[in-house]
Amino acid sequence: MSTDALGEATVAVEAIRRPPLARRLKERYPPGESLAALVCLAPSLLVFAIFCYYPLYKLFVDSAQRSNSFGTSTRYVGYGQLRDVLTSSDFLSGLGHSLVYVVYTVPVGLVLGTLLAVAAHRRLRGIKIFQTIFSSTVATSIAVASVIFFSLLNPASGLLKSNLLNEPKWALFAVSWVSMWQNIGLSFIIVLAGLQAVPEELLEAATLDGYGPVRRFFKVTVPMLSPVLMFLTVVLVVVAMQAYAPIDILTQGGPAGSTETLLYKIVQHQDPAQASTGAAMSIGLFGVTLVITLLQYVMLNRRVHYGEQ
Amino acid sequence: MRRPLKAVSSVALVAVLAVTAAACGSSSKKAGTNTDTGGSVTAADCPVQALTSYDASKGRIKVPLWYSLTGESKNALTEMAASYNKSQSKVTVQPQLVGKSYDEVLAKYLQGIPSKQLPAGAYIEDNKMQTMVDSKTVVPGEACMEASGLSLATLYPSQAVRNYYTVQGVFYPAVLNVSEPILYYNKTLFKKAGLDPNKPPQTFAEIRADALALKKVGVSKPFAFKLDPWFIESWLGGEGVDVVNNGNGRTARATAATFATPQLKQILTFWKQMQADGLIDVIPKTSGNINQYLDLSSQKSAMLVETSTAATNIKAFLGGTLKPSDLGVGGVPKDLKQIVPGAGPIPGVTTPGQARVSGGAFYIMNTTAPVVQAATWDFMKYMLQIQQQVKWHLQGSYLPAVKGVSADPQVQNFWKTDLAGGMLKVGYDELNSINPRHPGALIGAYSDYETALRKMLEGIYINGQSIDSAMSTAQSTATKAIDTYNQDNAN
Amino acid sequence: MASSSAAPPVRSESSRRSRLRLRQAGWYVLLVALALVVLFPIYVTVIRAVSSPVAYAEKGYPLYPVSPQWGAFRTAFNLGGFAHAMTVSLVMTLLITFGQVATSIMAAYAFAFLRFPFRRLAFALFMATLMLPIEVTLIPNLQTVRDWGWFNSYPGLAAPFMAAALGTFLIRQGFMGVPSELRDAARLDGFGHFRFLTRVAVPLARPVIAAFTVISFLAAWNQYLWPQSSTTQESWQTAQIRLATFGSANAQTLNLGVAAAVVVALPIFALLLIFQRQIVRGLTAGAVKG
Repeated sequence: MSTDALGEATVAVEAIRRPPLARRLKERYPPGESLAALVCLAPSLLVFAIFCYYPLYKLFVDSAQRSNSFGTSTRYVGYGQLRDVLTSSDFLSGLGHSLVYVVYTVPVGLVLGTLLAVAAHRRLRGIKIFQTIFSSTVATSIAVASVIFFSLLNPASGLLKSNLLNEPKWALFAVSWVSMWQNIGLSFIIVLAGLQAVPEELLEAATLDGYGPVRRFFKVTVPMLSPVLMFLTVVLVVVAMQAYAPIDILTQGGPAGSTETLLYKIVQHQDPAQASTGAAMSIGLFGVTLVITLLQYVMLNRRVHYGEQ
Repeated sequence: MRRPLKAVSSVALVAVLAVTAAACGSSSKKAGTNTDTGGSVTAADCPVQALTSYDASKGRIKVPLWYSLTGESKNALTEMAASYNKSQSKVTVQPQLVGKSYDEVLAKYLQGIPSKQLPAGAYIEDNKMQTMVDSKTVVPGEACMEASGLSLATLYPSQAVRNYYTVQGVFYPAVLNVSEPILYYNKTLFKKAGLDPNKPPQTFAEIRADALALKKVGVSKPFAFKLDPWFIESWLGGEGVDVVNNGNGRTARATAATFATPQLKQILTFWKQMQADGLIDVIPKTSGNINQYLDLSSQKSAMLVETSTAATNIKAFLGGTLKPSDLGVGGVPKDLKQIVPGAGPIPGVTTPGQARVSGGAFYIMNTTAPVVQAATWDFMKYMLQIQQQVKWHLQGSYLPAVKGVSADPQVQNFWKTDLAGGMLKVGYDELNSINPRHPGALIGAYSDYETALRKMLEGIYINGQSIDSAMSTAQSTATKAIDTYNQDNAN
Repeated sequence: MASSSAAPPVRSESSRRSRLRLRQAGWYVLLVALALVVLFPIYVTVIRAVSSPVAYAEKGYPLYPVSPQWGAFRTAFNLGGFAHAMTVSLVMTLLITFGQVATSIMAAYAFAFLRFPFRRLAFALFMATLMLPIEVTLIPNLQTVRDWGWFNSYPGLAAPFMAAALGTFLIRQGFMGVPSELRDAARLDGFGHFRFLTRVAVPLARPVIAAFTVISFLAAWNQYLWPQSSTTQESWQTAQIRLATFGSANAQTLNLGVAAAVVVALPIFALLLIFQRQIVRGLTAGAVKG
């Protein structure tokens, strides 16, 4: 056979064995479905593009520019501004306050939520009423909760007759009570669901092995709860970083700036001259939240127990 | 049923604090600037005839007016708008409460400029005037006055008031609400300490002497010291210090802050020593913070420097006609009749009464249709009438600055017979003794400058920072902010 | 555990029962105590709302109502203009909820049932938006909405929230539970996408869709930051924002302020009671498998 014929035969054999690319694509991705998918995803993607991704891009662009005080002209100043803002004491103190807020609200939410869930996870008459009560704080909006605590804490006529909101050292702590209280309901609901998913057989087996209730809790229940607790921790941290209403209603940045969290500062930086600083801080907030969330997943993932011990 | 203590409200006090003008105050002993020529605007800049030729059958012209006021000041404005609307058929003024503070209103205003989403009129804090002028969105009030045949000098006879609000020869606001910082004190406690209850301290030295005497009779923190940059400016101005260069921003645009001086150090050191000796209660400046009033009412303190607009609150806190439990603070003495509040001019380092003009100003926007501008000015003219100005004074506690108000029998009676009126008269006298050649500073980047000062005060008196480092940090921060403002807005 | 060998069986049985009852009583005590702690702020709010402010202050803010007057709720509601504010809230919330549920169902359908290129990338793009909440994107979004003239308007209040990654994720989970035999049968019967979606997928995933609807409604109703930032006129204040200005106002009318808080909170409390199961399911969806 000539080389040409051999070549043609090879091609012919290949064609029989593997369909052409176009047909393969068509099989894997039926065009009707692709079109349908486009239609289905388009609305969401449009919203995300305009209100999530474009803003992210715009934040970076804005952080290298400055606008005049009236938004009528901008000038390019370079990304040194972003670096300057992220290392400024203003940003760092805001970040510090946010992190302190996290430290105040997250452990309390975890512990109280678990405590309440453990208490309410048993077969007693009327337990459902207690479960409803414990989850009720999640039904109040953040504004309602803030007003409620305002009536407790405000120095002129608060029930607790305390001056905490005016003390720079204590104001942030007092403000965090709003979040702590709201978190109780959320934590309770999540941990209770987690408890309900702990298989009875494991606990029974542990009891048969002679484990007392405390040991059962720590050796069986808590490990089984770890994924739930991890999820809850991430949620509570994110919620804490996003706290705004309690500060706005109770202290407006607080005595001597002691309750100015990062988000609160960002909201104060809206007018044109400050918007680029605000954009830089927003990038900082984004970065910090991302890092914290990832860190948590990594750290806590190592300690998550799946399956039986 | 007696009306409960209304002025104790944080709302009213937020109003007080909102009114507190914190612009730099200075009565520089250098030559004043040429601030009152009035020659660079003409009546043509204000289209008043558009309203006179407007046909009312076309419907009422809407005048949205942005403001932030609380308590009785807010009521005064809304009531005035309502009565104006009722009195004619061409215009409807719509006052809109846009934020919880002066700053929120300004922020929303600035954000609305690029897309021209602005109201017809806005009530802005006095120290933001350079910003308003730079925005180029304001019809100078002077032009409207001229177009209506009114004379600025007749309307506002006080040269000091006119000079403060004049930028490069043009008077920009349409209507003013004026306030001054004054000293409030507890006459009863003064008497108890062996001090003359009708002689409040006039200088720093006298404050210290009085405080020591008060401390001896059990007043734990005789002076309630609010960390407000406004007072610092007054004291600096009294010592002839410009807070920014270029004639305090008046001969030319300011390019640097100049307040870190030996005089400032002297002032800060004085209060630091007072703090060390337990003679002051340090109160951070926060909106809604009313600790300084609570200190007075609980008799923890006997002296307080605050805005004249607080007179009504002070009266309510300390006047003996209301029940102590209305205040809701522990430790309030049962028999409040003992407290008699008094007022005096703001004490100075060496001379009392050294303050500058402060308050809020109503501006007319030039971004609306001419007929709307004319309508807005018409409401401003209404507010300038004696009757309305009397209302601003009696109800809103602002000081009379328009000609003829102080002579009004209602005002005279108020000063003579009302506890708050008597205190407001002190503010009025102080206003009329301000040196017109030394108006307050003009700073575009006012907010950042004020924040630098505020952080300096908090650093020194709350966080124990050294005075020298706090001063130099504040000055360099303020200078940087001024420089950035100038660069941002170079056009 | 030692027990008296000489004791008759009856007594140990009853003593065990009484030990059980004692333990149960102990749990009840703990539960009641915890419930009191959790409810304390609400209790205090209600007694302050119904007490007359002057008398209440005079008594030194006790833990019981003083000179109770029930008119405070109606006064607060009217004085604060809450009827209007709640209407604004309701319309905004309905827009957002409807938008989120509709777009999430559609997107979930695509991810669960359709084969198309870059599906994993698209899914990642969806999930990544969880890292870009309104708090991070606030400033640019405000500029966008302002430039479009959507300040003080329903589009402005609702637009940034018309899609939801969480909803897409949850409903996709629900759709993935549809057995493939059903899918094949439907295709054989000639069901188009829309018919399959509405007749098969959505009904089968109804529990999770209901859960997300309730969560979405709750979150939208409770919003604070965006409605505050994107409105400048009083008439466009939602119930939450109106409550903030009204409720933290002067100390003397604080009874009205907290009464307003109660009024604003009531609808959601009612929702909690009716839809408790859905709320729980929605909140725990990411936590517990299955």
